[in-house]
Amino acid sequence: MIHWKPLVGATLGMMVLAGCGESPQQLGQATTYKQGKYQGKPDSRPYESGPSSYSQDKSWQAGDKTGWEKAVKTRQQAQNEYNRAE
Amino acid sequence: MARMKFLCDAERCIECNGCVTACKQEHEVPWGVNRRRVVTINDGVPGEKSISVACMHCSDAPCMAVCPVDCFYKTDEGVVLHDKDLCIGCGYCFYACPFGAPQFPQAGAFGLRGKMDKCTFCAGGPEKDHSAEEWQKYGRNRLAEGKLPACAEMCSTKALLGGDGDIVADIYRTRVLKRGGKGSEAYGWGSAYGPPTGGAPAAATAPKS
Amino acid sequence: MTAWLVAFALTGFAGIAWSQSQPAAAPAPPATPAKAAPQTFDSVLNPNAAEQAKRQQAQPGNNAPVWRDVRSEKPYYTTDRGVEAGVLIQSGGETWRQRRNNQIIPIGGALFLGAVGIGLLFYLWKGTMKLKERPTGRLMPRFSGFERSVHWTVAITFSVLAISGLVMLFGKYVLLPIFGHTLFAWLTILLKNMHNFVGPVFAIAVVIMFFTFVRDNWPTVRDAIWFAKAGGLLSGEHVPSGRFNGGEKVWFWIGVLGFGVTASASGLVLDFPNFEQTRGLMQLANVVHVVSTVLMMSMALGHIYMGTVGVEGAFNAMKTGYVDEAWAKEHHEYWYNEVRNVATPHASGGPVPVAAPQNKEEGV
Repeated sequence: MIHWKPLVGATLGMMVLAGCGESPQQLGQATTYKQGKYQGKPDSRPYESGPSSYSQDKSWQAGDKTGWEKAVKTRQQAQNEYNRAE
Repeated sequence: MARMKFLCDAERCIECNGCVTACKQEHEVPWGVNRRRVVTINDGVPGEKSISVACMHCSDAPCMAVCPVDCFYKTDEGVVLHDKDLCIGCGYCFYACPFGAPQFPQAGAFGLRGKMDKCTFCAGGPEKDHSAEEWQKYGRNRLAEGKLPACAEMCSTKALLGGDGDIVADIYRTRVLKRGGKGSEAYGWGSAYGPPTGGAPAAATAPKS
Repeated sequence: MTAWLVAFALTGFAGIAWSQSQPAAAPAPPATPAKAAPQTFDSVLNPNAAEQAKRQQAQPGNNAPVWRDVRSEKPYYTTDRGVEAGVLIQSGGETWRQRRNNQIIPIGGALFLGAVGIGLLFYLWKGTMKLKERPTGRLMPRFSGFERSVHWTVAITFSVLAISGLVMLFGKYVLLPIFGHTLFAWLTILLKNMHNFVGPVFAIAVVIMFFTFVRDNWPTVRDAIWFAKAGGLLSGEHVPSGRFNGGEKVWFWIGVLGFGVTASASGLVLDFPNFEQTRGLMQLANVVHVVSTVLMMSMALGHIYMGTVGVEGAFNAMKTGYVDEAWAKEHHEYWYNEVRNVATPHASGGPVPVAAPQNKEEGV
């Protein structure tokens, strides 16, 4: 006679343990943003609050994603010394 | 927008520690913690090379994978941030990190670890952007102001680049071409961002299989 | 006992003989100047420095020797005063992460759950082992007050450490989905601090426990017989034993001494990070700590099972310090006979001291 209950219990236990692994972290697989929360942790996205009161760059407004990206990319060109020197 | 990356050009870094100072002053980092540091190989002899190191905001972040309370999260820009309210100060992220980025201010006797502190890519933390709480726990949130990390922005020799990974790669590629295709290796890229993809600088540090 | 002493003595003599047969020790190395170990890897001593100097002359931009240094995990010069701040890339962390997340957590979890499952199945199968004979009502002292204090100090600190350790190891997968981040982190901060402060108490208590119980846990030939019959656990046969039976001795030597000392030593490395120990050492200590404690917890389940629901009267022995003579005769017959032969007043059935607890089953 086969003892089914322990076998079923052990199988279920192993299946539960299979969850104790790593979850994917790469962008697109792990970066889930829901209602002000990244992966369960609260945080807003960087373009949502807008430039602070003492910020010089007023080219974008709060919530303007493309405007924020454009501002950051424009600013990053300041790190390109060939752009500046030529 | 592509993910955010840091790149330190070992051909250019002059070990001025300006990035370290900029970081400390921008965020008023607690005593005993340096979010960024400069390490010099062959210091004072011919062949000297310096590299500025901080959290590289890895694609497959080891700190995030081992945290027992899951306090880390990755933003849409690929910046690895953590919630100090959740951090238990166990030190596991410090064991796992290849760059030595997570650090713990001493919170009590016998080296009791406080809340972990590390480079935030100047992107603050979970608190409301530009709020006093965010400033106290994580420092300034420059990214939310449309700015980039203070260390990279003020680097005098432009050895340290920080920002959109595609633009970083573009700038670096132009630079390597202008200097005759030499010194194209980028510190830590293999460990942090995985095998190089098209257009990315060569990783001087091979990823572990 | 005698055989063991002889064997022990022989080992000692063999050791002395071996050490004397060794050739005279090599001349002592020249005394090193008394100065602190260098914080950084000296550039002048770095063979890659000259190579890099030559390489960048011959092939400007080729920094291969420097990139080798980057991966060498040696501490190079930095103004940062942090521990290992001069190390550029430490590779051991990735190995540690893979071991911990992909091997230790699933296998350790399976082992611990398996031990819980075996305990449950065994209880459903056998139930509590009742006394076969009626209790005599005459009590024998089994554990002194000091022994019980030591036992319960270890037991309580162990339980605190085990629960907090289990939460830190498996809580992310078991409790976090139920509690949510905020509550789970609050609980884990509390448990982590308890773990850190209770740990050293456990380490000291384990050492005291070893010296308290080692005399009666010394292995004897009787234990071999006990093991050959598996303690009569399955057959129900009566197997006499001394003050502690073979199973208890295995728990003492492997569980308490082996895993207890290993877990304490590795835990102390992790508990006090202010001695400038390196990450590599702490990664190793963490693996040793987790492996030894998971094994110890799995083994402890067996001990806790036998001491509570498994055997009638066993818990009272450690709670009150006294056992019924019938219990002593049934579970530890050699010990029962030894105590009777020594003929202390109450052990031989004389008047029980006033302070001794009354056997509740008297007159059943």
